[in-house]
Amino acid sequence: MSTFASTKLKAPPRRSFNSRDDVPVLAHGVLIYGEREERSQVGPGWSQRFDADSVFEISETDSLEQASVIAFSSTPLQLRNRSSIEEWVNKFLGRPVYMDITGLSHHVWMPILRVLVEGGFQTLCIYSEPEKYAANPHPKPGEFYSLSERVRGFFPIPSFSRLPSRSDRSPVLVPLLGFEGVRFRHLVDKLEPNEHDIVPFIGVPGFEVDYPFHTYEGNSEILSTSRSWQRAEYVDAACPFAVYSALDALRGSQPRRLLQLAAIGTKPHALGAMLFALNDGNCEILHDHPIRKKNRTVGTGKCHLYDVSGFFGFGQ
Amino acid sequence: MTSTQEAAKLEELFGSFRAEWLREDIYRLFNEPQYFSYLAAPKSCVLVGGRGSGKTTALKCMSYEGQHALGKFNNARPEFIGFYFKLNTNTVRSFSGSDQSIEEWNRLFGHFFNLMVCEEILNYLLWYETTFDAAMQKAPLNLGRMATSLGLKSCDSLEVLAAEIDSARLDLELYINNFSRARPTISPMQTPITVFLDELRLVKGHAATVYYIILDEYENLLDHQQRSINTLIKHSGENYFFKVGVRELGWRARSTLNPQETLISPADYERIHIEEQLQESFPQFASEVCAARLRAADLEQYGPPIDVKILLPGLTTKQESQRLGVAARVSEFRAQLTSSAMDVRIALLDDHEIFVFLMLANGDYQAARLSLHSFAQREKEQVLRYENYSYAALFAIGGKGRALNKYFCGHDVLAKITHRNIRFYMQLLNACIREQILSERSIVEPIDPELQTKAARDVALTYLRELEGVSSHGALLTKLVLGLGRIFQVMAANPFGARPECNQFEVEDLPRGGGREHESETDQLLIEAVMHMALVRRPGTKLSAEWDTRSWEYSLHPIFAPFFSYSHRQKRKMSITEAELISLTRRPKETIKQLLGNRSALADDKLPPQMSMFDEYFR
Repeated sequence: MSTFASTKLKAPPRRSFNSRDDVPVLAHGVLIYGEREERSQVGPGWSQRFDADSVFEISETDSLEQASVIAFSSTPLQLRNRSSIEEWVNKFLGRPVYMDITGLSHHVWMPILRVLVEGGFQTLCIYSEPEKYAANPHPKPGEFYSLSERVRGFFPIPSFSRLPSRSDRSPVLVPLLGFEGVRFRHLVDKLEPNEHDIVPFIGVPGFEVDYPFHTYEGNSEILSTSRSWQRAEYVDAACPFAVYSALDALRGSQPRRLLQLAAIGTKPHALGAMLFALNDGNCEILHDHPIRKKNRTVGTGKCHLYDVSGFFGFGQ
Repeated sequence: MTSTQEAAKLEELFGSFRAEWLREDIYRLFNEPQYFSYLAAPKSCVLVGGRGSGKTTALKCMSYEGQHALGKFNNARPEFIGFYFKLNTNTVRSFSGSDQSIEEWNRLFGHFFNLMVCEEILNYLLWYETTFDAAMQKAPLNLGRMATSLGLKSCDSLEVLAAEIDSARLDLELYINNFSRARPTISPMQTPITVFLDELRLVKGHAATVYYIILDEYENLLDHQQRSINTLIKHSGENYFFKVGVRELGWRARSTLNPQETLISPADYERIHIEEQLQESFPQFASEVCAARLRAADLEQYGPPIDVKILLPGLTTKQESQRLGVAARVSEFRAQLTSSAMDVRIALLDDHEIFVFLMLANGDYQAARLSLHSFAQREKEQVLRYENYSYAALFAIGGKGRALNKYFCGHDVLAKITHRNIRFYMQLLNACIREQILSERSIVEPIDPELQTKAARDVALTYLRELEGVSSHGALLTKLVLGLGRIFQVMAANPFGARPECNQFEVEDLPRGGGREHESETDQLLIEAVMHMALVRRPGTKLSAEWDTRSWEYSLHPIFAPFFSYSHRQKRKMSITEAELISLTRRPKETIKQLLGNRSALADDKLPPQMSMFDEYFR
């Protein structure tokens, strides 16, 4: 596989639409989605763009190792067992797969996407922005939005576990920041990284023009105490390929060190981190598995289509 | 150095209070704590302490790299060799999940543990060979035996064996990421470690060396993993010992893989509780740690080395009451004193003494006069009353709404509010120096009590905010601290007519058979709160078992005292029921009133200015 820098693409392979209904769907496309977000629910208009037997809702349980594909089998997918996932996705060979990550948790979409990408499937990811986030009715300083009830804590994403060796003892921590400073704080408290080795990524431009300020405000305390504000990188909040490119550049300056990519911000950023991890043998994805609050977002904003296989130069 | 450079240097030295942030400076700035000799003794030890208590620093200094950096490593005949490991949450949790049985996870984890320890032993051998040019290859090491113990191919050099271990680690990593792969060869837990250490003894000068496997952050292990390692600890001692670093209450599983077998101190290990060990010596230890950093700041242009005891001057009760404005509070009373012998005697008393009795008499001048006269004659009852209320009265001098109604200053007081936590102490000193620089004063000039108090409040607020991120229950801990802090603050601001300095609590044991629906939730909250230093505890009057949450007396961590403005001294306690404790995190306003009892109206008072940012929470 090639890196973003070496693909010589003039623009990252992404397109944005005002509505999900505007997304062009290739013939015999397969849709994979989850409904953990209101905006990711599939209405008749959207599902009719796909063949009747090509729409697969994934249902999540409390387990981080299993998920159910309702239209495939009553036996849950084992997310740490490649054969279990392949048994399902191999039915889509030769067909374009649209994976809508909007309403799926990271521990579900990442292992499935890994199998799709490594299996050479033509894979496109869809992400719908919320129109807006619900404001926190009782904000403390720096907390405007009420997004998570709590976090389950750090558990590896299935198929992305990493067993460190001694050479991993001075890793570089790359937190992909969102609004919730408490998640960044939890990360730093658990990992106790060297303060010189934190390179936060901040979504600039954000989904909305004011969002980067909220990111700074929400994370200001720990950005300040860890002094990591000095090393902040600005990366388009809606572009996974920009994250990939920025990580690629970071890898250039840190050729042998373990990169710990903490997906605690936007889903497109998490997608970029995951794609980079697929291609780089020396990085680890960290995720704290938040339990999302109900009605945390309102409405649906722009919809993005990411040509993942096109980015890697296959599946066209 | 310019003053800006000095400030930056000091910020770097005192701002980097995490061992992990200091890199190689950790050894240069190390001060041996009193308990270090116990820790270094040839037996298994469990070092218990909260975050910032200095566990990591002490354990890292026991590693062979630490000992070498400290100039204590005798390469001809090493006394002990420590192999340090930090147990990473994300890594250990890779060995859990519903898709394998606990027994299988234990086997896989055991193999990983073997690989990790054996890799480090090899690293030591390579380091020893390089550092001391010891021609290791000539040592009669049986590399084949070492490789076979891990299920690896036979090797002819240490480098090849290291590469084989790395490959085995990658094989295991691939397997736990994809269970449809062939299961790699899994080595039995402990056997390879014993084999590797047996071989290490064959290296010249290493026959009598004691080996330590140092495991930091033991609380990160899952319960079944703790039981696995406990089994190794139980059966260690022949050629190696374990040194375990763990937060209080973080060692959850005490049995071995045999449920009937439990680790017992001192038979199986020595328990070293940092806060208990440093009880008397902490102020001196803190002062030495800070002195080493001040020396490193290269401030000799200012003359003799800075002494933190001079840098952080304290106040006596009487000095403090004057600063708080006690003279104005008693001036009217003084004006009414006559030239009678009794009044003349009273007039000679200190303003603070007069204030205490005036408040105890609820403003009744005549009653106060009689008490003061008895006090002036050193009558025992009145002397005792004064002693009981003297410190508590300081919180009431300033009156409501005043930004600063109590000073927290002086090396000894600041050391006390850290509860023997060295990271908090350095944070405090760092914040004090920062305030001093902001007020454009010299960094070697004694820091004003007001600036010290401001710094102490800043540190408390920072920790209060950090608490939310310390665990998945962090938000509850923050709410608990805010609720308790408000209760103690209200009681401290109104000490007269109530028991002074009441800032501890015990959890009231509900009668058996009564509604105990909150039991497990309360236990969990208390355990999390102690583990993450929202609360501190001490044995109660009943016999205290470590996990019996009801047999202990609790107080907020004293680092919060300056922020909420209540006494940091542990004096008196109140009772809180389990239900009230939980309710404090859910319905703070109602519960605070309930707990204040007949003084509930005080809860409606305006919040002190420093707490106003949490106004929403108390509404």
